[in-house]
Amino acid sequence: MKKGMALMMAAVMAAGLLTGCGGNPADQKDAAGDTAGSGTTKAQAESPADNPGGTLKIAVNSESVHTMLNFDLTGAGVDYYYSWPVYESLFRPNAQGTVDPWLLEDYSYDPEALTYTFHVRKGVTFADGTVLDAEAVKWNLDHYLEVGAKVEALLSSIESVEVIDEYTVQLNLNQWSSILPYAFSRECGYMFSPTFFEEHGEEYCKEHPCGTGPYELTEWNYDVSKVFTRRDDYWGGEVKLDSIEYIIYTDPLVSSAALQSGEVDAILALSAESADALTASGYEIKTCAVKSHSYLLCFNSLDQKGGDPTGNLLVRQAICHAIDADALVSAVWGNYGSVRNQFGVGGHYYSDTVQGYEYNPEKAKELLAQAGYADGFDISLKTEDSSALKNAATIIQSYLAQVGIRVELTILSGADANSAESGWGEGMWLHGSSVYVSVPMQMASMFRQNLSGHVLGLNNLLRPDDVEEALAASVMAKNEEEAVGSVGEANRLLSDEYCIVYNLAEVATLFVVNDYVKDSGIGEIFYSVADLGNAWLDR
Amino acid sequence: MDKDFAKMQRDTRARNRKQALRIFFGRGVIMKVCTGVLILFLFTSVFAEWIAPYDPAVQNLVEKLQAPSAAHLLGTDFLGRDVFSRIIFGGRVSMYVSLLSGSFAAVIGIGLGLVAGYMDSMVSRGIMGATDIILSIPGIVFTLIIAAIMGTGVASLTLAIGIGMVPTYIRMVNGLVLSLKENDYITASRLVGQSERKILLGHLLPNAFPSLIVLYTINLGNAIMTESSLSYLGVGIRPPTATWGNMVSDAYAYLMQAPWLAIIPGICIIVLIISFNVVGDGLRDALDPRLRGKL
Repeated sequence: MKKGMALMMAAVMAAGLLTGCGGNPADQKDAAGDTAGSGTTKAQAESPADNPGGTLKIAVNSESVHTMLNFDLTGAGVDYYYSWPVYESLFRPNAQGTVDPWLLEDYSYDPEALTYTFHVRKGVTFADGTVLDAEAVKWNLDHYLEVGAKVEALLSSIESVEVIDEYTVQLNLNQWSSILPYAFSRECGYMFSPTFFEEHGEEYCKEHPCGTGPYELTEWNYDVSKVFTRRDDYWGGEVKLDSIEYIIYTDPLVSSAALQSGEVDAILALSAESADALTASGYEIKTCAVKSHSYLLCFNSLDQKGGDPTGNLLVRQAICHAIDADALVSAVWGNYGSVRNQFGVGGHYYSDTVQGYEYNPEKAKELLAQAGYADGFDISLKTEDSSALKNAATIIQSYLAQVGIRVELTILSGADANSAESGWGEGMWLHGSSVYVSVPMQMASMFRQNLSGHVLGLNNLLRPDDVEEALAASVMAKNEEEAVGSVGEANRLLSDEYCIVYNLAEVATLFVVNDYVKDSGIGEIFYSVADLGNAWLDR
Repeated sequence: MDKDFAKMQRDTRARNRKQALRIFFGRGVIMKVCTGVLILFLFTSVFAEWIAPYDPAVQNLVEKLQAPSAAHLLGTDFLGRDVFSRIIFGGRVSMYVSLLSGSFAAVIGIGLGLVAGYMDSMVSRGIMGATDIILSIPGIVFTLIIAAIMGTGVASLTLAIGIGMVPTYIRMVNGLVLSLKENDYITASRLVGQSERKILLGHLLPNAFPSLIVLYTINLGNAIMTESSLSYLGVGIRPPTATWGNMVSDAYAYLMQAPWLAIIPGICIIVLIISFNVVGDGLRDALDPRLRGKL
């Protein structure tokens, strides 16, 4: 009897063990998925229908700079990344460096009549189920014009917003502006549900965004993670993933290790060093079709009374000739950056009329002698505490030493760096600027006259009348050809004529996405957009 | 008679020195190695220009991130600078900052500690009160504040670290003096009319010396650690001056591609700090016959 009981118990335990090892089919699938993520081979799914659902885990390096309410955003890269799942804008950037309608079916404009007419896409709904129509667009634009952060810089030409019919909106301008479609391709053009906002109030909406995107924010652990869950009623079709989780890793080495161990599926905004290390481990780094950062050496050109050597045009030109931009860009950014002798990114606004400065230390010495500085001089160079800027500044210091210019390098961080950006005192400031696709829009907010607030070199940069005219013309251009010509002229004046800034490089934002993540659009076109509604996991 | 007494004193001193050296080096191989390390670092720091094969600031962007080779014994960094040369020059800065800040703190701290311990007045209570307040602030935070006020550069960093270490001397010397001044020989000195200066410098200070040696050497190690920490945090010395701290900090981003860039200066920091501590312990044992042991 005892023997029989023992045999029975052994059989039950063995069955239990087998059952435990087997688990249920769903568990098996998850486990297999995780294994595939860490690199083990597995039969590949052919399409999203074979393997729907799952969570895409994305590593980011910081918490939101602003709240999740679109009216609060000011164009910080990380805020765009968090906006991908929930917000869509009236226009979206394309691979050519211009913009296409997105929440609009099409649009028209009349520079003579000073109007833009937007035809709103039909069938678009917000996450709360309400419809995006002309009234909703007008409410959004009116609200943004009232409280938005970028009104003065980008939307000051808008006089009023008028509803023409259920799906048509007309913008009436007080002066012509060619940059409005570009402005509406960024956070200025994100649409928020008016009904949701009026029901819940501003404070609630700061943590509960209600846009037209494929996901809803369902969990927000500050400084840790955010979870976005799919909308079943998304207007753009079936959303393949169950959810998207953003996880914050402040240390790039930790996020790289997390990717390699399969803890996350993608990393956003990598440094060049991390990208190199991951490339060596067999990962493919994604750089968007349009680069996103411009690096430039800014001179204190306002002081022309002799107190600061950089007030002298010849000195500024000598400094430009003393720096080997090719070697510098290659050393600091490797394959992810390229030398660019004018401000901006992408080919659309590139101008051949800008000559720039070739590396020529002898010419630099000649110019210094002509300027009365044959024995060189001491000068300050300040920059922000990032590894790329620090390395670039150290290289510049070394090049300038070769022509007798002794650079005292100061690395600033936090509020010090922020305030130095507007006024760095004497000498030079090495600046890294994110550039949105519209170069005229960006330049207008940096180099025009009568700017106020937090503006690059507000107390240091010369702002000549002819630069102002060229930039005003670029913003008010009636067609793209005119805008491109005006930007080219502004760049020629800034670089060749006055040497107010020395443009070094355009640099891509770097992303790495595991190869089993399909159709996410991350790192494809431009850093401010992705296509997470279509993303699926081929595990 | 006087000549005989003088000769006897000389002989005693010579015998004491020999005994101290025997005790110091008789504490085992670790002591010898650590002393050798300190001498080596001191030598390379003093003669850095002659020993380093390259200028530590000269960049060769084509040869960046090279692995150790015959041309570059410890490879090159992310700007193509020779790591071996930067280690040597970085050691000079670390030694300079450590010795100067340590000595500055010792002179000020011992002086104030003697006064606070011996005098029974408002001054001594003021000194100890201020010391308690400073000691209640975490050391690195206090030094960061001082460094932020004084700016970057070797001199201001040295002073900031030195000021941060002063309270440790005051606290220790005060405690020692409070205990020592109760001894009979101090009472006797007072009775025969010796001046307070003579008592402080002639009797109390020499008797506190063995403990202070240990504190001094520990503080030298701490100073190197603080300098490295401040450089790592970006508050320290400006580029392109090499320090071990900023070498570790700058190389951190390249840890996966070129781990030696961070590991080598890190090892130097560890070895130097351990050496200072071990040598300090040995000196205390050699100078204070009550404390003897073997490592």
